[in-house]
Amino acid sequence: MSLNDAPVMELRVPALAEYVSVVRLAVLGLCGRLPLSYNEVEDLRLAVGEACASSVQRAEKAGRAASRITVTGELEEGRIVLTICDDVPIPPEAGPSGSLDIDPDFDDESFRISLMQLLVDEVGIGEAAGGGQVVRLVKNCEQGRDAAG
Amino acid sequence: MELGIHTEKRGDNIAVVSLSGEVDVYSSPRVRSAMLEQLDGGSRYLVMDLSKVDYLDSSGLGILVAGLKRSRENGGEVFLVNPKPRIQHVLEVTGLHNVFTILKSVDEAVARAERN
Repeated sequence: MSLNDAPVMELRVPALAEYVSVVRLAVLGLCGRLPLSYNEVEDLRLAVGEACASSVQRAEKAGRAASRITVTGELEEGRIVLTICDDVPIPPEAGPSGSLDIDPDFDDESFRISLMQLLVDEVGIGEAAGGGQVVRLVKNCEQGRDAAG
Repeated sequence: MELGIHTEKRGDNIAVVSLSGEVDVYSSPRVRSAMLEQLDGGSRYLVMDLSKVDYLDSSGLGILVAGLKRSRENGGEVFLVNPKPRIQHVLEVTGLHNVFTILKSVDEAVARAERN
């Protein structure tokens, strides 16, 4: 089976801190389909964890205990694409900036975004159709084409 | 993996905080509490033993930095001890390896604190 035929992973969890590790575990399993190094897999797991933590913290601040995070994984030719989408409204004053600067006072959100950008090859952050946040993470895998056979 | 925290006083103003498992958005508030308890209890120097930590995210990093700021305000320091290669990688990617003093053993860190 080629990577293009690989099934899509879709996981939906509550936007609660205790479920972020569940997402990381699922991503670990998906990464097993690609010839990624240990550090590449761990980088991706950390980036996904950061995206989920962002959803969790916004849900906590908004008092939205019923919010959900949906994580979708796709194995494309030579890369893995993960999309982390939530239904937590983005506060106007705290929208995703995409800034590369690490805030010296450790602003949680800007540090998270910076960390994600350091860990994976592409990071896209935007507003989801339902008003929440969507984060798209791409990790390239140079050997992916060979593995697809 | 569940977070484990073990704290031990070494003299009047030095505390060793040994962590194990995963430090993430769920477990990091417990690390914050453990650090604050020691800082509020008079420990100016915190020796954070990371040798058994398998995962450390931005929540944990932020708490370590906050502890460092608080400790330095009191004339102390936070030493990180023996992080696994994966955790060392995260510290290097974020540039925090230049912010913290990272040492190889708890005894070395305690000796450094005692000399200060």
